Amino acid sequence: MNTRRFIPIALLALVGLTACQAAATVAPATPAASTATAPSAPAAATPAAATAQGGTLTVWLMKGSLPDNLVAQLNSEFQSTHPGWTVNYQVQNWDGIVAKLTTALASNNPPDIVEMGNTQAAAFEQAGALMDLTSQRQALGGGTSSDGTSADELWLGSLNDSSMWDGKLYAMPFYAGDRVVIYRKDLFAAAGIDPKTLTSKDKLLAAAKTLQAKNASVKDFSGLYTAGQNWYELAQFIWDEGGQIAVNNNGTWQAQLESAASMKGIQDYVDYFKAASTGPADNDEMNPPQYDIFHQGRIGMMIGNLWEVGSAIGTDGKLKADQVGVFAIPGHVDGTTVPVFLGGSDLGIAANSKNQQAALDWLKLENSEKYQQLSAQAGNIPALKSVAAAIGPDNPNLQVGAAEAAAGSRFTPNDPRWASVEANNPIKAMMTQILTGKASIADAAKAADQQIDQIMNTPL
Amino acid sequence: MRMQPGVDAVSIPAAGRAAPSHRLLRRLTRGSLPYLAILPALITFVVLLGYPVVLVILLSFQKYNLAELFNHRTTWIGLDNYREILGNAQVITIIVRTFLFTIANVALTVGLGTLVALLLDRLGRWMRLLVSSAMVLAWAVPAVTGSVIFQWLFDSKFGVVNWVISSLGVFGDFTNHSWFDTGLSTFAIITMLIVWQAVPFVAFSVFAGIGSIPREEFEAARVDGAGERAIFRWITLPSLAPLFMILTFLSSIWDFKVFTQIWTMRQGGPAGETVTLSILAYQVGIAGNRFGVAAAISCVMVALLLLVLVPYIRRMIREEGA
Repeated sequence: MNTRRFIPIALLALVGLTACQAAATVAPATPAASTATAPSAPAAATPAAATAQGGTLTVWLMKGSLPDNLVAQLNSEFQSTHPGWTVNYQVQNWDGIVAKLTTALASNNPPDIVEMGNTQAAAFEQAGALMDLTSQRQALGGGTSSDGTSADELWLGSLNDSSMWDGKLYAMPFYAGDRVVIYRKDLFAAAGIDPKTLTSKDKLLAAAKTLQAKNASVKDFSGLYTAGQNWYELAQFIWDEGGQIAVNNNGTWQAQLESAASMKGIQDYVDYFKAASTGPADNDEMNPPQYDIFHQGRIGMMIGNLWEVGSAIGTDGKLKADQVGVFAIPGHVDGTTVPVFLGGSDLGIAANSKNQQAALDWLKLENSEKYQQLSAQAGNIPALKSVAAAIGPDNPNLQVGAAEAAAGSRFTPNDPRWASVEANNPIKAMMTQILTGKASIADAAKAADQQIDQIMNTPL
Repeated sequence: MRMQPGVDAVSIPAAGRAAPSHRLLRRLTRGSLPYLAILPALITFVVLLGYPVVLVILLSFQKYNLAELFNHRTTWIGLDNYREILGNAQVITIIVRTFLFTIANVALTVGLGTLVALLLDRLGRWMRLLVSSAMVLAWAVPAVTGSVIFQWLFDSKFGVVNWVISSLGVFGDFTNHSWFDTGLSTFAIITMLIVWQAVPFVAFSVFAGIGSIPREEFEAARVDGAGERAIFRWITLPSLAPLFMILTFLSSIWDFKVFTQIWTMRQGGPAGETVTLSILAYQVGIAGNRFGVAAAISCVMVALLLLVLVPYIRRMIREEGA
């Protein structure tokens, strides 16, 4: 029978089908190999499309960044001053946003304004996906300086850094968030500890041990909960001791975890871990989420993001809002606070956007004092330094966070390749090696440095 | 009486009375009908699968990162991506690791699956139903859900496994034992998860195969005094050889390119010790946005698979034709 011959061919097709799925999984969404077109100008120096004509402005913000009523107010004010324009506002989820932004910004009809995490922005800035805003800095409200620290630089230092690439401004700082010590006011009171006295690392750890002893009856209680792989916390201690994660020497990245200063910071972290914590050595602060453990009453203090306060209190009534407070993370020197790891977002205008002038006007409005203050009331550290400094005691948690950020904030090496480091994080592995006793601090730091160097120096 | 073309022409073979035009039509429809039937599926196949595959192959010869994507640049660099991958000692380690991982998983899957199939053959009706239902439940769990379950089972502080082992007392105190601090240990957990979900398919297939062997052969062998192992070696195995070949074949392909379980468990950690080729392609392509290099990794994966499986296919074709 002739049809028997079809069986092996059908099998081959089956092989081709299943084996080729391996090839097809990483095919990017946009057709690339079709034509070798001349490279389009990456960013127009002058904005295209006059505002007089009107149209639709598409704005993508992330979930949880700004409350809906704030955005509604901003959009209606924009629409009233720009007749003929409507704002198409879309909320995006953080999950998978980098891939979504990549495909959206590469298309011919991209969203006009996009929000990017400050650690994600570098990749898009370097690739020419965003409009060059260098000439618009003053008009947007960012001042006249671009060095991030002088009085003429009106934006928070590290947010400004994350918006720049190669000396040019490609995005506008949006808002920031940082870490504080979140503590149980009632447990502190019961143990006779006053948070205002905890002004150095040694005093903090002593208080943690006291808390631990006083609450020994609670199963698995941690005076100061520290997860083994909380590298954000580690970075802060490294910076506090004067160390760095990586520095850029004329285009070559050099990881600095094995420097003497950085290793002191790592030792600080080990001290925190060993002081009064039942946290895991091989997992980070989200697995299991430390605010859940806090909510269950098994934590006296923890170092966490400002937004974790709400999650720690929860909605089931187990903990009341007045039982939870925050204070600044003390440095190893008495009276100082650690330089905080500043999370946050920037706003960019797509290079292919057809409504660049309107987009600039929207950004100007968002960066105005009025909306920066409203953003602060919603719980964000605003990008404008002046507004951040003016946050008052009616918002005590934010006041602590903003003061920390103003005193000193850093973030990750500003480079698109840092995303690859975080995807397979050698710093986390290093911490587990050290905390489980499998390697000395020096050896583990050297190994992590080698990996970071290799990834950060792959040609762009 | 005129014959209806089409229907009658197919159903009545002796068509000597048919007009010449009907004969032509009959030959055309009978010959081309199979091809017309598979045409829609073929078109879908070519468009949805063929186009991305061609694209990936072309991409593997280009330098294609984010900048090229946003600026619509096409930069041909020949074999540079392949040189970068295959010249990297770490990648060679990953290739070897992927092969060892595949061999271990396939051996365990087919081996345990066959044992479970033999068990199913011996069980009574109710026990067979129980075991089958358990296997279907394991099979039905989505891969990501399975990963989350196993992560919690083997969690160092809150996991059930550590608690059970510690309570037994025989193996010592396992509280806070970390199952995920070495690559080998993490792979063991991942393999456990994959094999747990893959065994049902093999078990049911082999069980169906055993059911197709005439019972008289088994009885005759037992009468001749053959033990169970001899029966398996000389009756079951030869009769089911093509089935075992296909199952091993399919398992090899699936386990070589498995991604979900490895990624959700520890994202290729600790310290990159559980990175296989598919994880590497994801890290380079999606996390690192280096699409050209990732495409080259995918092509290398397919080439390696074909290299290993072509002898298999040839043997299968030879057996079919014999």
